[in-house]
Amino acid sequence: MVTGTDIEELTPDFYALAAHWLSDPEINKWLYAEWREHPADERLIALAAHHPRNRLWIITVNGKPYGLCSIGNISKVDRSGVAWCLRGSGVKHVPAAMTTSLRKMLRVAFTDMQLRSVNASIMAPNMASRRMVERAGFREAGVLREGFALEGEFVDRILFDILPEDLE
Amino acid sequence: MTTAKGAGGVSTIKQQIINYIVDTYGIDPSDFDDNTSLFSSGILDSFNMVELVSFVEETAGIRFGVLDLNLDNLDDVGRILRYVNSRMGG
Repeated sequence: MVTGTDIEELTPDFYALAAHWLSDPEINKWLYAEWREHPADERLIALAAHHPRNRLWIITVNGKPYGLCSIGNISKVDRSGVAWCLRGSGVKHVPAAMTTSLRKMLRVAFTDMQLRSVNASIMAPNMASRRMVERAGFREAGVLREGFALEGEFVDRILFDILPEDLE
Repeated sequence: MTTAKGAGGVSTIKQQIINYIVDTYGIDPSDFDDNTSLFSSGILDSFNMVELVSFVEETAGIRFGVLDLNLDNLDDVGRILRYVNSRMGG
């Protein structure tokens, strides 16, 4: 755990920053298809933040914006959601900050949001994200062959999931 | 699809918005009225809503402020029209 790392519900003060990060090609290329297909601007962030199927948080380290994390595609029927997170453009890496933030978000997901499961899918070449979700407690659930398009090539989509008991 | 930038009044704009939603998102017109939740029900996702907001702005000749992009102003056609009316000086 990294002290000084927090997550806060995304507020309008951070919409422009979130849009900037999501638009960064070096970040955007790793994201789910809907974020790659649509240009991210403040308006989209505002709508995403208000949509009942999403929760978005700004990650801070020692009070400074560090990244974003989200549970999306929230299903009240299945009590499930899809997690993603990112470190902001040009933000200096703080070891374990993303893992700490992800675990905090998952605690909210399993308590306040009362989700039963959270899943994530990561492009196979994205080793940093794969290690990060595993450290957070996710388990690899499978592979969708060539399930993502990355820089003109198809790469495998690695599926991960986590249940409340995995977080303890 | 024809648009009328602020012309024709709110009733014309209303019909254009309804037609857009029905045609674009495949919603059955018989299942849809002014109070049908678009956003909180999950019928439209955030990306759909961006497109709808752009259409409303083009049709009504208005601009949504970032802080106005919320359920109160967007969750159903009735709310959208109230917002449009307020921006048009109604």
